[in-house]
Amino acid sequence: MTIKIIIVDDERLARSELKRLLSKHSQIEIIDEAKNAEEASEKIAELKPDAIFLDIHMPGATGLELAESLGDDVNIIFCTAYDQFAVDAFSLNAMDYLVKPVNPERLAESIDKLEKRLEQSKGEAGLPDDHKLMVKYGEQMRIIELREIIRFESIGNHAAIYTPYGKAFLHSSLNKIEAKLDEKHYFRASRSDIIRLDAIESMEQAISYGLTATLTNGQTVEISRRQATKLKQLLEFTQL
Amino acid sequence: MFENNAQAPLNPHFLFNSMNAIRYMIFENQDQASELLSNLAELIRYQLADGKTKTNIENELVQVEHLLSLEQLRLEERLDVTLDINLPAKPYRLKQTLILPLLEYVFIEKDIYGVLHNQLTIKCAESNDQCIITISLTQSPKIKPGKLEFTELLTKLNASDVCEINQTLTENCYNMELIINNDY
Repeated sequence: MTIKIIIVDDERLARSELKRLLSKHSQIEIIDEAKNAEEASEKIAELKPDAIFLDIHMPGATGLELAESLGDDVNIIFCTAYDQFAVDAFSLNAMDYLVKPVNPERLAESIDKLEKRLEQSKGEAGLPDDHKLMVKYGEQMRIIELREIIRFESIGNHAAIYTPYGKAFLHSSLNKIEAKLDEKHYFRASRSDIIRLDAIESMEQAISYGLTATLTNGQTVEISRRQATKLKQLLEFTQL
Repeated sequence: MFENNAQAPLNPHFLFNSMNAIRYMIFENQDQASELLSNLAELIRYQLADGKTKTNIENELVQVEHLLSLEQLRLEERLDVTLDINLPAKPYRLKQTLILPLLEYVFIEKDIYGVLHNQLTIKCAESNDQCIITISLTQSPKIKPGKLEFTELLTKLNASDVCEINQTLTENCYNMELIINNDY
């Protein structure tokens, strides 16, 4: 298993020390590093790492503020020089925290924990189409099958789902949902939408060079330029 | 890092951060790590002797350079330093350290670690039997507002009667002029 990591720390020497320590763990692939929260935010959105090692005290937004903005989309291991921050780190459901200077054995424990968590979420991936979900529509609860959801839309910390019975909400992030879906049936259209492939009725070129998909319920969903390319490749005749 | 007597502990944050940074540097450049460790050791020795033996402007400025070398190790491109030193003809003997604690106070109060960039200029010149040390700090995106309160620190350093401090502040730059009148 390869674990993709981004290191976020304002001090280059601290980043290079962590890189040195992580180089002893062959399963870790450091895909990038960032020296502040803003840079990290962009890189995380673009590269989608499995986890980030995050310093707390940085110029501009702090590591805690960055963690808050990321929600549970990425596993966070805080690296802090001072113990008192650890309480905050755990209140944000951080996966772990390491105190600088990082102890190699403690780092190994943390990587172990991370590996287990990733394996667990991988094992949960690809739910079958007839997987049952209990969903609340207004005051009523209804049991639906996964196949009946034609769109997941990110709304704050929730995801709106669109089904033949109307709209409902799941308390989960789109990234977590995506990890559980079978990619044969569902496609990540953009940062804010996942759509069911057989619910696409038609598509047309969008001004943004992406695509606009019309779903069976009449809704239109934007497919980002990058994802449109991926979708075209996925549905190419040569794939057969 | 400096207090007004030799028994005072070192500023633990500075010491901790410097030692960490030097430790990281060992894996990159052993010669530089060794030099920086010497700078730290000299700062510690200077502090241990503080108040026991007299010092002077020249000694102070050597230690300022050591302090800056360690801050630059951590902050790298986020701290640019320009030194414009014309040592005075008179030695301006000091009973104890003065410039170092004032500089460190400016660093802490203006939070040099919390901004994206610091441009620091330190000048030393003699004029009309006075030694004038100017500390100019330009920060981006912006400097922490407000002038600093030095009364308590100068009292602690027993320097209230022998020097005066003038401060000016613009949108991005803090300017402090330390005028040392006599030996003390």
